[in-house]
Amino acid sequence: MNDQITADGLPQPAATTEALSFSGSAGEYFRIWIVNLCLTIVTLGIYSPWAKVRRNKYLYGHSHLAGASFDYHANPVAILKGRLIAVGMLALYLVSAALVPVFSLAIGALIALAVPWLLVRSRMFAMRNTSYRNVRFRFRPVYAQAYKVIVGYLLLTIITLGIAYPWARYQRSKLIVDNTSYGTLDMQLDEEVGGSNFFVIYTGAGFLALIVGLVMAFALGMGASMFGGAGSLEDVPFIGMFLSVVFPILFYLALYFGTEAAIQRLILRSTAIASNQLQCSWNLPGISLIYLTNLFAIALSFGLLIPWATIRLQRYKLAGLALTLGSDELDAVVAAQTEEVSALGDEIGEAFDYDFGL
Amino acid sequence: MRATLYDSGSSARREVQVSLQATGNLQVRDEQDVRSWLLADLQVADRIAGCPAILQLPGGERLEITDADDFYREFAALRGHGTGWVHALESHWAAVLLCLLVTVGLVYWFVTDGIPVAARVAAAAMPANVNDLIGREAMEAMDEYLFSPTQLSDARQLELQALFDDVVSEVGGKDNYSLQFRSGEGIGPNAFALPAGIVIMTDELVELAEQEAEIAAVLAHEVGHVVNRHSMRRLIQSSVSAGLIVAVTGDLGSAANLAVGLPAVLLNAAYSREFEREADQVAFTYLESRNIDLAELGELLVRIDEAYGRDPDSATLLDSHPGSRERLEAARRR
Repeated sequence: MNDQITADGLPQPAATTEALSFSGSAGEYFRIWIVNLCLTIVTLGIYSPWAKVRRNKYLYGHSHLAGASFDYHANPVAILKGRLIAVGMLALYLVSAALVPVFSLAIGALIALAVPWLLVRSRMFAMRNTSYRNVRFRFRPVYAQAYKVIVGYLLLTIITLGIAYPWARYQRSKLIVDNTSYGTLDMQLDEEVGGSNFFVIYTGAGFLALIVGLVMAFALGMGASMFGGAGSLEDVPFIGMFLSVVFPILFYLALYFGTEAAIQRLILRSTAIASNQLQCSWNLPGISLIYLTNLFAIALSFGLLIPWATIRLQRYKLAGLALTLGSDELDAVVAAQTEEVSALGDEIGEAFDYDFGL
Repeated sequence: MRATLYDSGSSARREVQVSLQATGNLQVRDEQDVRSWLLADLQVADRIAGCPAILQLPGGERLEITDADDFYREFAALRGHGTGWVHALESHWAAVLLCLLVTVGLVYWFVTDGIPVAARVAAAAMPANVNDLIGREAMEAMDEYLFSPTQLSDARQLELQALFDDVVSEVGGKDNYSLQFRSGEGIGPNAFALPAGIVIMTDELVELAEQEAEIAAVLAHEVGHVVNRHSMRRLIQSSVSAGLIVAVTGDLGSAANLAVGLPAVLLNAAYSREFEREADQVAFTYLESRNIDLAELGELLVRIDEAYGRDPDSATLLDSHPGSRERLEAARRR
C-alpha cells in the first residue's frame, strides 16, 4: 500500500479540533423523502426498507468529519425480514389486545422482557452498518450487562419512586457508549461523569417547571380577579387564554426538549473515542426552539415539512459537534472483525416504539 | 476525475485520479502505480444527491469519486444506462411532483374511502362470537368504572323495553339485542351501543326526555350503531389509520409522536362524526315508519347539549359528534 506523506515525521502540534458538519439540503431531501413515501405507499409498505436505507445513506453521506463522510450499509432485504416479523408481532399484539386482553398482556410482557436484548441487537445492527472512512463501527453483544443495567435500574427506579431514574438513565447511556467502538478504537464515557450529573439536570428542569408553573398560576389568578369573572376561564379574554393554555403547552414542551438535549449534550461531551475527545456546544434554548418550531411546522403542514424539519435539526446538531484529536490518529484506524447482524432487534424495537437512543 | 481511495481494513486514504476508458475499464492512478478494473466487476452504489460516487473495489477498498457528475455522465454513456431509477425519479421535478400528487391523493383516498370501506367489509366478516366477546368485555369494564345500578322502577323498565323491542323490530336487522339500564353518575344523560347488540341508556337520559318519542329516537340511533357495526369499524379504522400515519412519518424520532398525534385525533373524530350521521339515518327511518316528527331526536340532543353546557350550534374538528343543529337540519332535509 501507498504510504501517507507525513509532515517530515514531526509530531502533531497541540491538539487540533475537527468540526462535524452537515451538508444536506431541504430541497434535495424533500425529493428523496417524497419518492420514498410514494413508492412505500404504492407497494403497500414492501419498499419501506429500501426507503430507510436510502434516507440513511443521504443523511449519513452528508455528515462530514475531517474531510470524510459517513455511510450506511444495511441490507434492505435483512430489514424487510426483520420488519415483517415485527409487524406480525405488532398485529398479533393489537388484535389480541382487542379480542383476548390476557393474551396481549402475555405478548406485551414477553416483549418487555426482551427489551434489553432488543436494545443490544438494535445497537449492534445500527453500528455494524455505519462506516466512516471504510471502517465500520461496532457494538459488543453485552446481553448480560444490558439485563443487569436495564432490569436492575428499572426495579431501583420503581422502589425509589423515580428518584433513581437519573442513575438508571446514566447507566444505560454508559452501557451504550462504553461498548461501542470505531474499528479498534473503543469509545468510553468520562469516569468523572456519573448519575449525579444527570440528577442535577433533571432536578434543575423540575425546579424550573415548578417555578414557572407557580408564576403562571399566580398570573392567572391575578388576571381572573382583574377581569372580574369568578375565576371562570370563559370570561377571561385572549390574554387569559394565552396564559392558561398556549403558554403552558409551549413552555413545557420546550422544557422537555431542552432537558433531553441537556442530557444528550452531557453524554456527547463526555464521550471519547480512544484518545479523541468529542465536544458538544449545543445551545439549549436554541435547540429547544428548533424542536418546538419543527413540531408545529410538521403538524400544521400535515407532514409535508418533515424533510425540512429533519434537515434543519440535523444541521444544527452536527454544527455543534467537534472532535479534538488525540494520539490515535483517524488516518490509521484498523478495522475490527465484525459479523453480520440480523435486523430483527432493530425492527421489533421500532415497531413497538422503543427509544434506543443515547 | 478526482477521487479518494480508502484502504480496506483501515481508515487510511489517499487522493487518486480515476478515468473511465472506452474499453469499459476504470483506471485508478496515484503517484506510484496505475491500476485498472473492468467496470462490470465493481459495485457502483446507488447515486445519492450531493454525494460523491461510491464504488466498492474487489479487494474491499472504497473509492469516492468527488466529481460525481462527470463520473455518472461517462458511466451512463459507457454502459447505456444510468445508476438507479430511484435517483432518476428524485432528480426530475415532474416525477417528484407526480410522486407528491400520488402520495397526497392515495393518502386522501385511503383516509376518506379506502379505510372506511375496508373496515366495513372486515367488520361484517367478523364472527359473531368475536363481537360477543368484545361487547361483554366492554360492558364489564364500563360497569366497573362508569356506572352504578339503575334507579328506574321495574314498571318503567318494562315500558322502555317494549319501546326498544318496537325499535328493534323495525330497524334492528337480524342482530340480537339487549337493553341495559344504568345510573350514569359522572357521565350524565347518555346512551351507548356496544358490539353484540348491547344498548345502554343512563337513568339521567330517561329523566331528561320529555316524551317517549324522544327516547325512541335515541334508542333507534343506538340500534343504528349496532346495525352498522360501528364499534368494530371504529376499532379497525383507528388501528389502520394509526398504522398509515406511522408509515408516513415513521422516520421521525419519538418527539415527533406529538406532532403526529394531532392528525390522528382529527381523523378519528371525523370518522366518529360520520358514524353518528349514519346512525342518525337509521333513527330517521324508524321515526318515519312510526309517523313521528324527525325533529324529536334533535330536541333531545339540544337538551343534552344544554345539560353538558355545550353549544348546539357548533362542532369543531375535534368533536366526536356533529353539532346538534346540523343533525336537526339533516332531519329536515329528508
